[in-house]
Amino acid sequence: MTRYLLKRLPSALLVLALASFVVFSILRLIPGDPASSLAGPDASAETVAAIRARLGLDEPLFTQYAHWVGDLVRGDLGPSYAIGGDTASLIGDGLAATAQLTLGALVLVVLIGGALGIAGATARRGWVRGAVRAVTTGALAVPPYVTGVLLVLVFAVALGVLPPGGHASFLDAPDLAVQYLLLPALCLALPSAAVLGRYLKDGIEHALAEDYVRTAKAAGVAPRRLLWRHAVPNALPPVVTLLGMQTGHLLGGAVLVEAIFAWPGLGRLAEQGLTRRDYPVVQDLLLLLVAVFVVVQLLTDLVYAWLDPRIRWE
Amino acid sequence: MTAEPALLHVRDLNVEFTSPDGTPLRAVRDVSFTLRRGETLAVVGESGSGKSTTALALTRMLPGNGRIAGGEVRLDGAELTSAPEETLRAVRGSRIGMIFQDPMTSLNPVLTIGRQLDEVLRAHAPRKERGEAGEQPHRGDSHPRGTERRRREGGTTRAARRARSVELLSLVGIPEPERRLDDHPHQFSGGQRQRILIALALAGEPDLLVADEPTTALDATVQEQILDLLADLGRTTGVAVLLITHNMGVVARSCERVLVMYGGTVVEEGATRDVLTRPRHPYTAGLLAAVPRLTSPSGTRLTGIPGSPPGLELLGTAGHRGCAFAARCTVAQERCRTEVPVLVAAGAGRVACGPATDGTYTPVALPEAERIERPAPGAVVLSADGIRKTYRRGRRTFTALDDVSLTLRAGETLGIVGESGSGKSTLARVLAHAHPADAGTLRLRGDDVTRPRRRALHDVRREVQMVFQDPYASLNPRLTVGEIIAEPLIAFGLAADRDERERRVAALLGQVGLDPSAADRRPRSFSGGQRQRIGIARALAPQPAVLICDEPVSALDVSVQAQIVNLLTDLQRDLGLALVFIAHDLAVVRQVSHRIAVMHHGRIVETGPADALCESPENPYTRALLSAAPDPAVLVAA
Repeated sequence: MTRYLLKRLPSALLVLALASFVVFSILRLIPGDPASSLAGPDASAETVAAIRARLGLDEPLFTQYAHWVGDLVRGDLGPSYAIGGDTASLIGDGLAATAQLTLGALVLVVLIGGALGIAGATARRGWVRGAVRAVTTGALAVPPYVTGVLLVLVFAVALGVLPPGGHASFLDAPDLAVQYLLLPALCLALPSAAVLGRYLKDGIEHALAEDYVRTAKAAGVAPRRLLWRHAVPNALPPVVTLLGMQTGHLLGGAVLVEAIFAWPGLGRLAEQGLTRRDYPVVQDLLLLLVAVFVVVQLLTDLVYAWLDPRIRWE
Repeated sequence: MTAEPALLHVRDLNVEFTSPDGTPLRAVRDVSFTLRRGETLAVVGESGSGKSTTALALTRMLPGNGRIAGGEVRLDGAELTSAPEETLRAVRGSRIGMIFQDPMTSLNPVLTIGRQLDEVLRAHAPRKERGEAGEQPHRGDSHPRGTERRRREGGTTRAARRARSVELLSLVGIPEPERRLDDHPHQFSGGQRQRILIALALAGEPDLLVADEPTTALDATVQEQILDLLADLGRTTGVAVLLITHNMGVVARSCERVLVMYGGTVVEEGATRDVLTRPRHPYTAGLLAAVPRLTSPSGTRLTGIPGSPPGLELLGTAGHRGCAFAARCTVAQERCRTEVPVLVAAGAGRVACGPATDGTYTPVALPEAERIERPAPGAVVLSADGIRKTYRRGRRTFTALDDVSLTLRAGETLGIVGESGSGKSTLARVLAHAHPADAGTLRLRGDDVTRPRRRALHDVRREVQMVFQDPYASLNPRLTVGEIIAEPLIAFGLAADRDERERRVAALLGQVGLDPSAADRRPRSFSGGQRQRIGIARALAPQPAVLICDEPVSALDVSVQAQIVNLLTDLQRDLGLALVFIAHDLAVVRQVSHRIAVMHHGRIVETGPADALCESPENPYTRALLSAAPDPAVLVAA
């Protein structure tokens, strides 16, 4: 496993290096300038220039890039330009909240998607299959900002069982944190759960028609074991790959959902950072998301190899 | 017949499938037979004969769209077609074990062999411990729960099951069984996987082993080992065997009785020796005549049955009148097309053929093989010298071709035989320039074309064409037959305009014995044999000098393969084609080839004129191949 990881390391680093370059360039290409937005609309040209000099924005782009990357490698994220405070702690706080949301959503994706997939593949009754199909199509078709509003209307306004928005820390009040987490996580999870359910359903149906399931059935193995020991493990590898890709999707989708539910995560930080041209915050944040994605892909490959012995030995 | 009651008694079994458009199609029609304890019965037939469906129906293992539409299956008197699913689950594996055709896909790739054996042992342990013969259905829910269950699941300990697994693996001849239990299926060869499948089927100590084409996917020498194993098991464990096969040679060497099926019904039944030497039904006679004999000399025509076996849709349920074989039968009478023949006693067996029963048809002895007039081979067209090809698999390199040299003359057929992995197909691809050779020289009419420039490669590709093994996978299902055949014409710029293209396509279709109207239809509306004709027409389109046929008949039914082989020989005679005929069946290769090259581990181990090589082989491997080929005539005579 270690050797496999070492083999993958160079390409992961290359992705990060390219990403850092793209992130840096794109921010510089967006019209607007942190110095003038910091200085305010009425500031004189001298003030703006002074701020530029203080932030090092008067240096050539390459030097700026080198400084940023150099500091990053040393683990120094520096102060934020506009939001105030340390970039590292800003991102750290946001990451904690977003990780909560994303992981919560991931759990729901696995639970809902798994249930949909297995029910869809094994249900004998036509109406169950029909219902599964309807739920998957619906969850895919309706965008999060609509489901979000609907969820709030039903659970917060009409039933009044869950809060419409906000956030509580898991460390301080776990029960409260779960209540706050449920609606946004569900809103974020639904489309991915639908995709996962579809793939899992197809995978299980496919595996159940395989020769080895017939072999086991002919040897008298019980239907439940045919499903759980034979079909599901063989259906999983592609689903795990999909789940890895959906994790990236969830991170991206979190930005939108955080706005709907007033969730103090990276999404909100990214939005603030972008509107105020807070280069360090946005750059570090985007690079972090790329890094998370790279790690998730590596994990996916490892899980894939663990699930499929044929890959393990090659 | 003995007084002992039958182990298995099947009466008037009918199976229907529901087609996608909802109409029922009858795949098995009024099939009846009995099987005694310890007996071996072969069910022989071609694709669509209903033999596999019958086997699956015994334990109600039919796919979702199939159902038993009538009749009964009695196992020691207990009726199975209407028994509850729970009862059948107890029967599967512990009373009736099954072995399937494809060992490569029939084992779960993500579980170790040990786990798969353990699972089956666990499923059947309780009943065996009580020592009953199947009266008490195994109930999965009656296991003690919790830790008690974990420790003594199914009444056996994990260690005991493991010991039994080791025993089973050594019984079927897997070396080092103890160690290999923890291996996954992909770490075993095809033959070993088939052995493991047999071990799985034996794990529940069944009284009956149903083997559905157990050796079809295997090489001849491995096939021989597996058949020996099955025969040994029958002797040592007293298990009855129902062997389903399309291969008459397999029938001859392993079974006491044989049941011949065609179009979903039993057409003939009897002792193997009787059926194979004195067939009563015209279909059985035709099938036997179609089996290529190793004794048939080079340059003789293969015998076949005209037409192709009926598909399910042709049989249907309604509108089925008369004998299913009537359309292909050379001795069919008027009544054969209207009256459904009844299976009646004939001699020691049974036959379902009106004319055979009332004596208006008596089968004739095997016709003498007809010689083909073919001109002597001409100048050398293609030659290979010291060809080498290696593949890298991870860190290891695998030598697929090692110093292979051959020459091929115009109008000559070079047969290439060898088992899987011997390098036959790699050689075909190198000769056709699908893969470049790593070393050696390839010459086309004397010109070095080993590493051709773009222009020369174009010429080589036009002159050397291929016919592929699988007529189902090698034709694009979305194109019409006309478009498929026209593709090479367009690629090589051989037809000036649409009109000329259509004329050429029609001419090519005629050349391979198809109606020109076939051009407008898609491959799925053709049978396997017809598709192979389409594949040949496509290969002929650019007017090649060399045709490389890679296992061109191995996916086809025996009664149909003669049509394709004879077509190829006729085309060779008419067009002066040089043929490379790659196959694993030595008997076919001998009949079509002028010369034969035997491949083993990437090398040509022996080469020579076809007859001489088959009659006095020099290489021990050639001898092994020859003796492993099951020939019904030789075995019955012995």
